[in-house]
Amino acid sequence: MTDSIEESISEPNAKVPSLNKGFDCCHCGQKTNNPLFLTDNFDKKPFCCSGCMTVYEIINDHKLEEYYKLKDLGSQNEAIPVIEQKANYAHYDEQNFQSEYLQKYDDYKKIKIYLEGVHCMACLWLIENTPRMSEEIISANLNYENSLAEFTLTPVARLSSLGQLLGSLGYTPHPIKNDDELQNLKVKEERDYLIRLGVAMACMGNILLFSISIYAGLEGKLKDSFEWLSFFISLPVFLYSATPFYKSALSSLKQKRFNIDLPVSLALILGGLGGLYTLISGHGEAYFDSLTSLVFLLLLSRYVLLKIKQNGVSNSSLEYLSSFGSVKVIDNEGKQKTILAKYLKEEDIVCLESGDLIPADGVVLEGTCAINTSLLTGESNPIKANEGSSVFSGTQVLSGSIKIKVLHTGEATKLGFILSEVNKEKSKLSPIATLSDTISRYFIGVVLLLSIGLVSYFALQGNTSEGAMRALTLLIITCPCALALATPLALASAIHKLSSLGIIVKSEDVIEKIVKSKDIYLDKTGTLTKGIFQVSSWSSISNNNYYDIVWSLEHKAQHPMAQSLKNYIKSMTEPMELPYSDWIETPGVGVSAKIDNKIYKIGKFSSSDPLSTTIALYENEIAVLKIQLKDNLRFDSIQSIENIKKSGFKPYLVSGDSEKNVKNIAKILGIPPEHTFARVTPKDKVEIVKNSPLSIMVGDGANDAMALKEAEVGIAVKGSLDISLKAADIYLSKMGVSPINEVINISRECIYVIKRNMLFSILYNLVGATLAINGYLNPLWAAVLMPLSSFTVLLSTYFWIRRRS
Amino acid sequence: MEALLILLPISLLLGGVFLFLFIMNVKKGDFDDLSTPAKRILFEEENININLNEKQGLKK
Repeated sequence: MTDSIEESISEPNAKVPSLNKGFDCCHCGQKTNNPLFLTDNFDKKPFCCSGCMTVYEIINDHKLEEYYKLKDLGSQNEAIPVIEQKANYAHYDEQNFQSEYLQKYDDYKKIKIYLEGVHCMACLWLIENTPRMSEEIISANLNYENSLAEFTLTPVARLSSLGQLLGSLGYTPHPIKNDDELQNLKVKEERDYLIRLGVAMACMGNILLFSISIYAGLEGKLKDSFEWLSFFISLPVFLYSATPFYKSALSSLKQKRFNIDLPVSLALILGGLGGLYTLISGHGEAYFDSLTSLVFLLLLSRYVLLKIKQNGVSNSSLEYLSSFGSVKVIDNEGKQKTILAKYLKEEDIVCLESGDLIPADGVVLEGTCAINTSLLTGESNPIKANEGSSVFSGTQVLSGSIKIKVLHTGEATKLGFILSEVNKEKSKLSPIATLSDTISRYFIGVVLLLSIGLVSYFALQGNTSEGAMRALTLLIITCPCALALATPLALASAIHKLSSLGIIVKSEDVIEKIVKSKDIYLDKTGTLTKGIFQVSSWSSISNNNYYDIVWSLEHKAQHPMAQSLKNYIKSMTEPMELPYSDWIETPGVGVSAKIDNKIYKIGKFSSSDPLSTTIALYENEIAVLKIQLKDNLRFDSIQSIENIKKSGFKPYLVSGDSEKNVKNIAKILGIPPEHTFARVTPKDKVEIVKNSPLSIMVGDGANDAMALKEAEVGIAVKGSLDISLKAADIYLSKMGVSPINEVINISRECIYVIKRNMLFSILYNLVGATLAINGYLNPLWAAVLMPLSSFTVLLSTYFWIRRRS
Repeated sequence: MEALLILLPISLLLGGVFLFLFIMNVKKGDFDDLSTPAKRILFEEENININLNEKQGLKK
């Protein structure tokens, strides 16, 4: 298991691009240069990482190979290599966890889990076949749209083993509280909408049947009874289906603003009461058919919009992403137990091993270790900590194991402070008022004034019913739903498209902001670089490569550099473990052992330049091999910066790292030195972003979180901390920064489509209004023509979607 | 024309029945997830059996 810990720290797909022998991973299909081979039982299949290999083994063990057939069938998103989670699910079995997340029944229990990493039809199949893998699972049901799975378990089932199973399949489980009211409310709202829509459609259909005969020239008593029937059938539409319009119109009146629902409600009330009057008085026309069609079509377009939005925005899923790790503490009796990090108290003693995130601010009681503080400070070189050193929440233990005494928890920690800053409201200027909002508002005002004018003009001439009819026609035909539809629809499709590329957007207004932005601020460590050291040169003083010796020495070692060395060796040769004795690992110093009666030691080499770390292999105290390790740029960083510049943005580099490191990276990336900021604290980052209006911030660590929040648009890259995810507006769930280019392109196109849609609907409404005022149209024609404009907007947006994909 | 006297109520009644059934099904949650069942149907026969067993298990 320790092996896989290391695997998860180093990126599985980022290997030394040495030899040109590409393999396709048997699980995720990604190209890899130095595959791991699975030998037993299977005929030496290549995998890109041990995560993928484990999943493959599990799937084969349970005779579920069909997964791979299905995978080719309906894959929406690109497969992602499985990053095996080093997760401990022991806290799932805790009492307070269970009461919060589990629904208990007499002979079964249920839990809802948001599964991160569901990406294709085969995932659906695999999840729903988990009952075949474990006796404890009675059934599994996955909602593919929002990655929510519901598991029914036997009463004796242990939640931790469910978590373990899901984790080993490559999904990250995020359990959902059993009384998640928001979720329940959403479901209820959607069902309500559907029922309103159904009622409106049924009533409209029946009324239209009667209208056909009336328009065909039905006369006399039968006509009267048909019209009365239409009236009664339209009542559920007026009184039930249309209530959302009345409510929204009322609330808009209270706020002294016009919204789209105001003219709609007015048309419904005017038309309904007018229709009743003509029925009673016996002359004139009633337009129940037009009015019910209006309600139905409006509800339909809004329902479609709601659905598109849901498909795209995983708003809610982002909430589930924030995880809660578990930690090992030592209780009063000196026994170890696992608890949720959020239940930690001051004075608790926590045991931490390499790979663990430090859950609270504290002081080291026992042991030494190397700590990666890059997430908190942006510093890329590890820091040594021993007895008495202070350690901070949000940093990570790289090697060694320590016991710490907790001094501060929660908000009192450094990280907690950043978190509470992030949770505060954005200290922003007024949000960009969307163009369509402004237009619709003026537009509605003008239309309302015009219809009042029409009624009073004809009333003065003694022809009130003609005036009322023209006003009704005007209200219906100018119903600005195309205008109102244009923006949200295009935004929703843009978000949908982005999400299919693995880019999660929290709110739609981000799209408009991105187009207006000019400056992009990028964090260095962990964002543009991998934040992990990799072998860049391997120079020996003799012909001997020492691969086997280094391999044997580092074989058991814990620190991530050992993993980099091992990865490198594996990519060069098939290593052989030599017999050794007296093996010692000293955190922060190195490893040593006796092989072949010689003492070998791997440790820091004296001369080190700041950009990289050089280590050496000592044979009886003489350096025989020099290995240079570098924090490499991500594979797509240079190209992405290039593209960002091409699309007219100015990239800036902000980092907590040293001046030299930052300048050097900037040079490689083609960012001018005056556009770099080195040695900046999290607060400096906020200031930098604040001073540049309409800026985009890209980052990953806790040190970026406040700036992500403060920037007009915050983008968190894959591997970001929870708190950066919370602060950011956009989350890139795929490795690298190249998705930023996609965000920019799609946003620009989206705004273009919005403008096109609006231009069209304004033109359409001008023509329609002119015809209506001059009496060339009647309300029925208006009701038929009105949705046409919405339809055109839909088509225009639809073709954009098609062209993109 | 007398036929209308019979046919009209029948058509309205039928419409009403279907509307009622629709509302009941929405409330049961049959329309909550429209995309997953469409994918599930493509799986092999034996898996459908599993899904059936699930449902029975749930109804207990």
